[in-house]
Amino acid sequence: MVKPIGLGGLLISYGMLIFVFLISYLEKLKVEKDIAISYLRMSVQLFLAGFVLIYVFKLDSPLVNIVIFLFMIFFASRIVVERSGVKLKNAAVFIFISILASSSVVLVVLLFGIIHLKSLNARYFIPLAGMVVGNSMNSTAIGIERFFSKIKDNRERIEDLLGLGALEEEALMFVRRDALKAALLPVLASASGMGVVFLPGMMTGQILSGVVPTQAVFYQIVIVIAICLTVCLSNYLMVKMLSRKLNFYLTSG
Amino acid sequence: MCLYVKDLRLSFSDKEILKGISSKFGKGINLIFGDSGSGKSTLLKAMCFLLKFNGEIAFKGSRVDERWVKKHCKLVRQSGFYTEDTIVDTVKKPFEFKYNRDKIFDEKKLSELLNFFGLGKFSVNDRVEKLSGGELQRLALIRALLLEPEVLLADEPTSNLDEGMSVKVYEFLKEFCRDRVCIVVSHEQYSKGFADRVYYLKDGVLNG
Repeated sequence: MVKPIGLGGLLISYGMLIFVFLISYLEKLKVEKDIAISYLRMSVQLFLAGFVLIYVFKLDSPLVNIVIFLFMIFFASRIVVERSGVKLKNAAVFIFISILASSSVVLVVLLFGIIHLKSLNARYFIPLAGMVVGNSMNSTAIGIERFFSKIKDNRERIEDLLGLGALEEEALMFVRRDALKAALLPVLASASGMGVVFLPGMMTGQILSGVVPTQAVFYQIVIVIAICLTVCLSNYLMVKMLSRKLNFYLTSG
Repeated sequence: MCLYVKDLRLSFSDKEILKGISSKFGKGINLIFGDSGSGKSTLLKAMCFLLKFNGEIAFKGSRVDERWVKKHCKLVRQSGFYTEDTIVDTVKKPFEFKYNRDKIFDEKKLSELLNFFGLGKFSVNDRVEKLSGGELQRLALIRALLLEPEVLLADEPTSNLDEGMSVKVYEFLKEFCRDRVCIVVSHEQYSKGFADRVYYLKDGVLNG
């Protein structure tokens, strides 16, 4: 077995970010501050998560697990709103509901139908929920951004359909279609490259910790499909809910 | 058969664009004239409930709501049309909407209208991107005509057409609007010759 990474390994890893700063500076990307904040935030969050997980695994209380799950989704929704710059009031609520509903359904099937857990075991539930919610967050950020930019660029075409008798939902069908495709594409591309271009994170982690690769494959396939469904469901619910606020988009800038 | 507008008011960021318009639009072509920026297009959009307004719209004496307007009233824009890949899919699209489902798409009538409006050189399965701006404007008009609305609102329907084709369009509308209410916004003098009533919109006030 190899030695744990340790502080030295971490420092070398942080050192690699210097090149990112350098390129940002030379190309005047002006994202040096964002890089520093993002990676500092990531490190603090991960260390905190690490310590919290030790207690959560020891406690293994379904109620605490659910609270953590809701906490994850709450932050995911806020991050999506921040990243996409959406000005719509209650956007975070729509995103929260979309991710909560989709990931809950998928996790129930995953944990109780496929892995056959007897209870909401923290050691399984928290990491799997994290993967599902995390991917859902990334995709809804793409989906919502595309939804709004498409509306902005196609305001006249939407009004054209409304003027011909379309309901708001009907007039936004082509917008929804585009937003859903944009949200799904990275997941599909990633699934296509798995095993040939790269080994996914969870499978790599399992192999590094000694699990037989063929067994790790089973977990990975199940997770990849679960992620795909969550991404699809959360974006579908989100754009459906956002479609009902069409008046806001047409009357605001 | 009349469409009434009562005290219609509309503002954009504290600026009043339509200042209490009250008018009666009867059967035939009701032509609205006005300088650019006078609020002609805004008035049509409001009548279609695409913009929030204060006031009332009534048809045959009863107040109408957004649902009625979606079902019985169709707006032809000046530009910015929604298109599908082909001509036939583009004109068929509105027939999929909930409020148009009772209407029957007549492919024979489409061919007739394409011929009449000088688009006979195209097959219904031709791609829309083949059409020029003026041709697309005529297709947008055909799309609304096929829905046979009780109230047709048209915003500068001939702005991209030459005078010969524009006259042809107005001749068709004159016949089409015989039993329905058509409100047409225009700035071309010759259109007055086809109008049953002419209104002037200036500084958010409609006279006629």
